[in-house]
Amino acid sequence: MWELDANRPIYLQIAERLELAICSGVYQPGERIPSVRDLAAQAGVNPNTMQRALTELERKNVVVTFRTNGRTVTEDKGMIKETRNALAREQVHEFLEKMKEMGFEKEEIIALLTEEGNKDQSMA
Amino acid sequence: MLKKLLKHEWRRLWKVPTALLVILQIFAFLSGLGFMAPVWESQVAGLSLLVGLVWTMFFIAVIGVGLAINIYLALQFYRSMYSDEGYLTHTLPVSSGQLLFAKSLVMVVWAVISVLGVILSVLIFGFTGILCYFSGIDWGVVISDIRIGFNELIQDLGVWEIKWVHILTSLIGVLISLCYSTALIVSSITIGQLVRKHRVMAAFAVGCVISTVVSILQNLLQLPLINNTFYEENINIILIMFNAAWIQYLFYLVITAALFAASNYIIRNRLNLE
Amino acid sequence: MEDLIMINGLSYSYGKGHGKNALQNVQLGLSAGKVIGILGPNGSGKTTLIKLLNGLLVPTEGEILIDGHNPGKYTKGVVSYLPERTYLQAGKTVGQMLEYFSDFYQDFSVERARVMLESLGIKESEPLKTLSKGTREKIQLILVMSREAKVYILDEPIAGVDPAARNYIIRTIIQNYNEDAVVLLATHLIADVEAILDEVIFIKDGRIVLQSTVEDIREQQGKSVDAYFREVFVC
Repeated sequence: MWELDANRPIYLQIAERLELAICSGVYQPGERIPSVRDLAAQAGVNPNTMQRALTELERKNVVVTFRTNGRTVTEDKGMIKETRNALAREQVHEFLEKMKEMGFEKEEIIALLTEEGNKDQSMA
Repeated sequence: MLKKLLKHEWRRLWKVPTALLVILQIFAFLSGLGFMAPVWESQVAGLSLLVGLVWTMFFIAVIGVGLAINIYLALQFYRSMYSDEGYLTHTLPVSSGQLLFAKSLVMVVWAVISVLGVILSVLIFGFTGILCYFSGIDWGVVISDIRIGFNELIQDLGVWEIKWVHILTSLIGVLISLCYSTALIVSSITIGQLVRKHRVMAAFAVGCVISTVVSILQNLLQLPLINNTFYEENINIILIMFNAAWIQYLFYLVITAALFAASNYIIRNRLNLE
Repeated sequence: MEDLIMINGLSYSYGKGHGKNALQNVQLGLSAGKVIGILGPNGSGKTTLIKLLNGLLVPTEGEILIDGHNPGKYTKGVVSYLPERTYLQAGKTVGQMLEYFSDFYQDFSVERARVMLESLGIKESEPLKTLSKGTREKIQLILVMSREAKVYILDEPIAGVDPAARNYIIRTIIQNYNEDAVVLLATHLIADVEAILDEVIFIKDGRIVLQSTVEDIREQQGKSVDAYFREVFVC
């Protein structure tokens, strides 16, 4: 079961999750995505909700549907890169908003980021 | 659907009554052995007393097994229809009539089998006893003796020959009364489940009330006949009884049908599972 | 497309001694392909509504139409019901219950049931008496979900069940989802199931106070169905 916040529309959260999975390479470009029912069972959500989320992704062209073969991730690597960047920008935006609220200035933020980034071993 | 209901109903119920009846037959045989000469000739003080005890227990068992089977069938009816199992029973894709019919039919069949079983056990007891007590019996003589004695008894009562018709009529009568007793059980339990609490007590109470009322009605029905017979010269009791029998049978058939109809109505419209 | 279940002006009273009606003038249309939650506190009329849908009670007023039929022999053949209680017949084995269901229900799929039983490690030869209550509840769920019914009615399927079993039950419901059928799920444990619901119906004191999709509630009220429910049903 995925951890989902029931206080917001779920289909959007699922769409975000799937987008993240695609951008981070869990699902490779051109790879088949599991069926709506299997994904729904994995996530612990209603199949209609999962369907709606996938329709969102189709609308954004992150996911492509073939009538006979089901759904696959788009082959368009440029598209995925774009989406990845868009997601990243969203995160940065949120982060900057919070920092501003706390009263941080640009230099302080960059210094903090560099410091924490150096400490984190996994970010070589 | 009906066949499936009957099949599953039979499978559900056959084991306990069969076991009880089989045990009864074995008990009958063992009790019959008590007639063996060594028992009565022996010096052991308590032996004949023990055998007497065994016979007493056998007679109690004869009545007890019949009763036990009836109680078992009634309990199973209650459980399947009005306990938690009722949630399954009443959501099967069958009509209430089919349900009632299947369960009642199996109950009547077992009532018949248990009557036969009881009779059989008494016969086993008797014959075992006779075999043990006497040696070198001429069975031909025994049977004709029995037949002569029986006919004498009947002549005394006023009929000079038992016809097969009469025997058949009696058998039909037994069957009808078994149908009635099944209807009584089914309808008492069904009416009893109308109340919210103490459903078992309610079923008993309803059963008593219904059987009392039916008895009273039956006796009322017999009055005209009894009145008439006082004015006849040749009192031929058995003949009168047989003529009156058909009215009785009709009466009980009507009552039985009414009880089943009432039960069906209640199940269709007033079912109230907890 | 017509609703699979249509309830018109339905009222039910348990009798004069019981005060007001258990259900009052219920008007509902439930369509296929949805998982619908019937939510309400104890005594709100949920159970009464469910019994009426299953033909275990007869309406005092109004009518119910399931696939165009009033509750009866036909609807019992297309409605698969999981009551709160265990209705498995004592003295039978798991295999005998399978046989019973496949005998009486044409839409019962023995293979589906067997697959699910195997995945739980339950053997067909096991007598029901020897199994734990939790296992018996799962078996009952498996029997109910193995039918290709048009209507599934699940009454408190996860109440009193441990979290692992809860997930199993929720996944089973999702996996057996069928777009020609409607699943009715009655419960008061909303937080655990709201993710699998399409629509919810709030029922209070025998009346329907709300019928809405769950995402509408989340968008319009800005809160989970569970939170909204608590608001609506403040004691």
